[in-house]
Amino acid sequence: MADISIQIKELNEKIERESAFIERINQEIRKVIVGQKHLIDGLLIGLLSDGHVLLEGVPGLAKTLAVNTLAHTVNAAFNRIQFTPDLLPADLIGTMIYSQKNEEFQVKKGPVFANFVLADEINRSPAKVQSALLEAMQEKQVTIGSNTFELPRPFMVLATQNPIEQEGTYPLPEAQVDRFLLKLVITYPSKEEEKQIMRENTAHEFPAANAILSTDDILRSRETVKEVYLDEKIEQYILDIVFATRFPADYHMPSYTNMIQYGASPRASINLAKASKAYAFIKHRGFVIPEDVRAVCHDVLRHRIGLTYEAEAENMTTEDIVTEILNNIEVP
Amino acid sequence: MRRKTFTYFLILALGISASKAQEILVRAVLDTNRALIGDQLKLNIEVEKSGDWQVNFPALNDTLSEKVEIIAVSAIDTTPMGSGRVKLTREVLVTVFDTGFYEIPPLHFMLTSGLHRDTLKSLPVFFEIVSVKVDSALHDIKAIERMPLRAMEVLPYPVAALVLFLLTWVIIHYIKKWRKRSVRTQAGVPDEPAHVIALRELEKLKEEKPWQHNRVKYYYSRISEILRAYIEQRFQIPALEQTTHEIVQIIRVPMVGAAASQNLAAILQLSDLVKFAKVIPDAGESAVQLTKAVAFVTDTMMSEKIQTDEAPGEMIISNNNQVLQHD
Repeated sequence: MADISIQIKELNEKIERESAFIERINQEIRKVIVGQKHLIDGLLIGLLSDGHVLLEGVPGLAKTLAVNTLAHTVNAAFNRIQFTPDLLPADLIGTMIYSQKNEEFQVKKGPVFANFVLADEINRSPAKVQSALLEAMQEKQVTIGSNTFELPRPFMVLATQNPIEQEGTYPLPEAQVDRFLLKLVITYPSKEEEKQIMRENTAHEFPAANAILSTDDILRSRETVKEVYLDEKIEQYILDIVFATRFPADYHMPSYTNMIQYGASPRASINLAKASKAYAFIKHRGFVIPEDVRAVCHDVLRHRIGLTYEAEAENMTTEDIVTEILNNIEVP
Repeated sequence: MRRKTFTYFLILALGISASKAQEILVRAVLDTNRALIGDQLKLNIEVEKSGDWQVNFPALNDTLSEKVEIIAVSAIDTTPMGSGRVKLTREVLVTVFDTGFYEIPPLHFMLTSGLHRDTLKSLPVFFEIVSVKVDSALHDIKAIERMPLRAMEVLPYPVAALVLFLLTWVIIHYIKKWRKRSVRTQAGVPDEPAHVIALRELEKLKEEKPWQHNRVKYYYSRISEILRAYIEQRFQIPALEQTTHEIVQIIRVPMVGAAASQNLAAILQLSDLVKFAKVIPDAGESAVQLTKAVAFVTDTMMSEKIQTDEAPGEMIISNNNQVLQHD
């Protein structure tokens, strides 16, 4: 082989160098979390793409533990908020309190002021509390009274939710769910993995992850991820996938027209590209290939497609639709 | 003497009244004197008079007597009778909703002629209203009436059966004909085998030599496309919708042999680098890829030959340089 473009070669070398910490962070997380490779990859993609991650799964699948562990591998401020039905927006973002000493109102910042915010069981609170996170997630700032405060960088919301079929849950509004870069669905561990989990949890000491990264490392890596090369062919592939969720008939899937109430928004295209770049970075590559897009496609799209009653009646899920789209769109 | 005079005057007065009465006749006649309860009866009221008499018919309201109800009253009809006499008639429709004997009382008519006034009344009319006769005896339930079978009633069934039969026959005939035609069409234009198409396309690409004309990306895109289309048709897997990694995972050594598997992986991976990572291999390297692609197709192609003369149905399949025979 021959003349590889100097630019890409240099980029590849840089990315191999910069992404070396991925193995170390993986090792630290694996001290605590058994299995759940997909979950850990998803969390890293969120961390590197400057996105927020929503984790969904039945209770007891180490969602909270995984987020806790990731936060502890980075030397950064971490707050956990347990969402409850009586939680108020002010409990989240903060409020103005009257100081008798100074005889004036003072701002009391809420737990959202941290690098990593774990919104545990986010769908246990009603929509007004969930929506309080909107400004923080999108604008990376919070307005309390008449004052607007910048949130610390990096800022990442990691929310966990129980499947909405469970009692006492409030489904997240579409506007908010769209702001999550990824929605990861956590499944049960295998028998072998569960045996190991059982052993670790019944031992004298439960392993803990060490902080191996600083916030500056994360911010620098994010800049490197942005440099990952995304060819026009891959851009077209991403657009085809997103457009197929809106106009399935144009992509040889006329039977899905009545199944999709609304397709993915332009934010889906942006996030699919960002997540693909981050995935390529995790794989120590300086360019995106179709495998990267396919690897993150379900996680990026599953919460951005609205199903019709007809689709629900036929037990069809957004998962099925994304799979069908990937099976129908030609890979570049 | 006085008594004689009174008698004389009385006879004279009666004579005048009689002459007046003879001029006017009033009559009330019912069309029947026996009717069923609720039946309608027609009462004809007639007055015969000379022209100089004015007659006022009696006013008729809802009833003629307690139970005799008036349904309708016609207008007065005048019929000339000659000699200056006329006949006035009026029809009254009555009914009774109870059984028994009834009387239509006399009807009073007011007569006027100049200064002379008089009243005449008709005779009362009697009639009987009877109820419907009820048969209280018990009878057997009537048997079902058997109507005679008519040809027009039966005819539609055999006609419909005949039409259905003809329709079925036409459809079956049409399907048979259509099948024969499609078999003939298939036999006439056989589908090209996957390797024929792939080799032709690779040959075309070789003639174009795009890598020598600064179209390296196009060249590798085409090679990858031709090979994936070939794999899709040859191995029946949706290779055009799969990534390099997925294809290489499926097309492994046991399936196509080590050389073909390695060739395919090398071509597709290099194509990915050119397509997605701006890698530009040199001209020699590019030319080699085409040779590798042709080698992959020839190593994995399937050729079929149906021997129709000696042993119909016998098929020789060459797969990966192996010859298999089926009876």
